[in-house]
Amino acid sequence: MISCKEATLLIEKKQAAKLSLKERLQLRFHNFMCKACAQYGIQSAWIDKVLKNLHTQDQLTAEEKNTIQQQLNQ
Amino acid sequence: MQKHNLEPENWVEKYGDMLLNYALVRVKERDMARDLVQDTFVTALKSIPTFRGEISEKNWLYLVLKTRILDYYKKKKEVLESDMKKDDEDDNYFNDKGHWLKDKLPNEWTTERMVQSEEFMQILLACKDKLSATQALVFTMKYLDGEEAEDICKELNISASNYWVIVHRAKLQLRQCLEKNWMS
Repeated sequence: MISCKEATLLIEKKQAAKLSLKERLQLRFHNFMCKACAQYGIQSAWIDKVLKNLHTQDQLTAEEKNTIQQQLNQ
Repeated sequence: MQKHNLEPENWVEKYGDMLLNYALVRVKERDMARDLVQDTFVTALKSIPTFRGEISEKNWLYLVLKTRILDYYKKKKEVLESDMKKDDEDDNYFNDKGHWLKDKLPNEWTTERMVQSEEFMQILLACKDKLSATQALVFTMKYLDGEEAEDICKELNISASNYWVIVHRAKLQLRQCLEKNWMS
């Protein structure tokens, strides 16, 4: 059986690249036996999804805008 | 096709906040993000003669900022290289047999906590800021810019296996940070 370290690496690869049949079977068997890695797989996929929505709602202050504008006017 | 025009006198008011937020999720410090925005406007102003009107003013400014951000990371190239070496050596998550260390075992997350609220976004951003420069750069390219693994490897001149080590390590760290600061 592959280790948890190998299994979690395969989980990351799975999202971007096609795993070989052997790797797919190894991962499925591992996740069947190992609850922690199965959890990791669910959580990793969710993190991937939310990372794509990562955003901030900040604003430049009036002072910062002034400074930048002055740079542009030079 | 319609040609696009540039109106530099309106840039700061019209695009300043948008570009700031674009930079903020890509670099750690707010001051750095603001300087990159300023730098973008100054560079764009000088580059006006090269603007051919094929893309919109907004997309053009984004493109200039994106290049500035990549340059900012490339200046840290030495940091990148030492990061990668460190990533190869340390193992804070698994024992020598590759099993989870006891205190790093993933716990179950409740669906109530798996929501994308603004509060959660703050935590996610804070956790992302704890990544090393290399991990942050790879994450930016992979998740925020949606680039393919192959292109990222080429751009950063790293091997595919190195790339996966970085992604794996970064994800382990991010997952751990979210579990500690948000899920429990």
